[in-house]
Amino acid sequence: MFDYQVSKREFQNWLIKMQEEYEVWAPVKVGKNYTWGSWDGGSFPDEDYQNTLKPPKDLFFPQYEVLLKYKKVKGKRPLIIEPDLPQEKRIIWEVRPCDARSLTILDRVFINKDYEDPYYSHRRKNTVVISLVCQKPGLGCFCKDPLTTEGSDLMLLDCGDTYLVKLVSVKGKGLIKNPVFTADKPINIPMELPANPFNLEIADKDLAEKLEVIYRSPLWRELQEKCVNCGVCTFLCPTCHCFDLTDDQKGKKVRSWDSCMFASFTKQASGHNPRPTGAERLRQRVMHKFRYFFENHGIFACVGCGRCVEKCPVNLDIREVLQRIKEVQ
Amino acid sequence: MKNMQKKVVAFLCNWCSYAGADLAGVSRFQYPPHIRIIRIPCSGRVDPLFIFNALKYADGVLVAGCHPGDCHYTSGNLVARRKFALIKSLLDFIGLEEGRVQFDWISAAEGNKFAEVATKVAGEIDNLPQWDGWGERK
Amino acid sequence: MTVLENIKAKAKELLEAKEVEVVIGFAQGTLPGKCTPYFARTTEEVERFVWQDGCNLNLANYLSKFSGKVGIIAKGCDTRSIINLIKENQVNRERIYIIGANCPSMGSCHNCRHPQGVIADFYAEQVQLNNQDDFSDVEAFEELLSEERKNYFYQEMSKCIRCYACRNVCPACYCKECFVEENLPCWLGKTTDLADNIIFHLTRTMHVAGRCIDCGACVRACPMEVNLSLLNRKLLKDIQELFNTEPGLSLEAEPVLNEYKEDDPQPFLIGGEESV
Repeated sequence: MFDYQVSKREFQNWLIKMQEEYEVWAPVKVGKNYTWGSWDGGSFPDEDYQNTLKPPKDLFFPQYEVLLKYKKVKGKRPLIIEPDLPQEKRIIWEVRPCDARSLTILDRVFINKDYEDPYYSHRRKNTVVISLVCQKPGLGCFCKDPLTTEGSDLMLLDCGDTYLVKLVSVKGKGLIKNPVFTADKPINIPMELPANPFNLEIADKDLAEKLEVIYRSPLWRELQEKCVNCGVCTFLCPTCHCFDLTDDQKGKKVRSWDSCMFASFTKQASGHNPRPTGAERLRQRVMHKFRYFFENHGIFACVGCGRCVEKCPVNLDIREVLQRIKEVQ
Repeated sequence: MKNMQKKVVAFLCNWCSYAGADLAGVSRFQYPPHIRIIRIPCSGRVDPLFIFNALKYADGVLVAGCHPGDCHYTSGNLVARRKFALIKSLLDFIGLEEGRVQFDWISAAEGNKFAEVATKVAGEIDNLPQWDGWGERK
Repeated sequence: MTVLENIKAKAKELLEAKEVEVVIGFAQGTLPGKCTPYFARTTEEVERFVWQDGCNLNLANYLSKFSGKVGIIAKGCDTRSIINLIKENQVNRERIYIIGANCPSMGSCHNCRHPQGVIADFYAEQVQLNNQDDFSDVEAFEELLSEERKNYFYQEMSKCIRCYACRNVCPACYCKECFVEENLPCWLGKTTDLADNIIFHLTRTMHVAGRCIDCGACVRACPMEVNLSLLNRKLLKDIQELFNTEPGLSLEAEPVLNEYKEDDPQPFLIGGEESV
């Protein structure tokens, strides 16, 4: 059920008007791929728009970020300079529902009762997410619900010349005061949406339970044999959130993405590495997503966007990995 | 005096070029003050990384070692020679100016040559367009 | 018999005779057109092997994962990487059995000159091909203005997300600890700043110079589609022009940057070649 129907032209005008107050971000085509960039006020996604190469994670939890700078002061404590918190108001639109949902997973990590990350939470609070329903799943896609509204503030469905608009959050409702958005009664979806080719039914409660007992299984060694331990899967993942803190030579403390697939991820100062081989690293990735996160937050840290499936250089397919795990007796 | 802010890093081999720079000093041959010398054991020790990394902070690089045949370690500079040919060509390929990174052989006896080379290299780098530090300096 | 049948027959023979404990090859992947590395330990598992377009990773990369006797199905670039690994004492020739076959993905690489195995213990396919690499892509880039070259290079480097897929799929990149991970001293920042990306890629290009055989695995592995082959192929062309050699073709010849000649060209000198 959607709330409004609006022509694309009117929607565009509305969004252009929004640009007075908001920075509008959209998938921008570079070569044959889409990346997140500033919306030019004119372009709509092409027919071929599946999803962006990198997830919108970057816009909230950037690949690297200076947390603070420090300077030596003679005879005194070092001077610490903290950067201003991000204040700019943003709209990101044409986010796929899976990616919008991934933000609710990141929220659990960066905004919870024990800790609130000021950088992340400021960006999150100042951003409106407008998602666009997937009508044609990609090769690696395995989401559970292409119509999920989790993480979206508004949701759009492309109907050719018009968009159906669904109000999802208070933030989204607050945005719409313009008379172009009109409807007398809720609108049903006028078309048949394709059935999902690979529903993530494999990632269910059984999986979490199975993972509890196969920690020491030789299966991990077998599954990881072809893995080269690069960071493609984790860096392109909309929910992976592990990071490293480093000091550069010029007095900056930098937070940058790290990956459990890297050999150096758990390497300790002594040289000892508790995860010495690829088997432990793959196990950590799977366990974190489908067991530890499930135990802590009640959901899996995977939205089925399929980026890791499509971009893995050795075709180590997470769907296959999960299937194999479930088959263990 | 704007050139005073420019920096040229010079990697000089301990046995020849560094001694050449020393001789230039002792002999009172003038050379530009914005050449910052880093002494290295042999031109063969110059990891390409040193040059690429130096360009993050400096406006240019000079690398100098013993003349071929005079290496303290027999062949360090001869092995380095092949590497330098590739580095120079690669940097040109990606669009760096000809004078940004330069190489030469300078012996311990060539104090005057060191001063000449240093003056020439620094002068050329001063006259190049503002270097962007691999995009770090906007 | 087809090439694949030859490969399978040989692999089975080796496993049955216990000459090797595993044969490294490719199986059908989970996405259309994609093949995935596969390690067959039994004759039944050998049946899963495929040899088709899409078998384009460099399998030499996996040799160091095994300590016992290993069979490997190798196309041209894999065998050239194996030659380099043997010369650099990373792989013992006695320990590996090479099943050579022509590259099934021919045409995807720029005028590949060696689609067939350079060394092998057994050839599943014997076709001599004589392609010529004219380096026309590198030459076309050289023709551009320096400003244009720099802009293109910067644009490519800015795409990098430093996932290190290029490094990790590269058989020439076998350092136990890469300079990017060293932190005393910390050679390279952990950011994806343009400068850090550029320093990483230039240093890696130089590090594999004279050892890179242009298999293109790094380019295909890159999720951001950075044009890495331009840098690698530029140095390959230079090496051919300056030192008249090509890496990974003989077990005897030293890697080009490990040796020298008294009269090596030195066009890099101030004042050029003639200045000495």
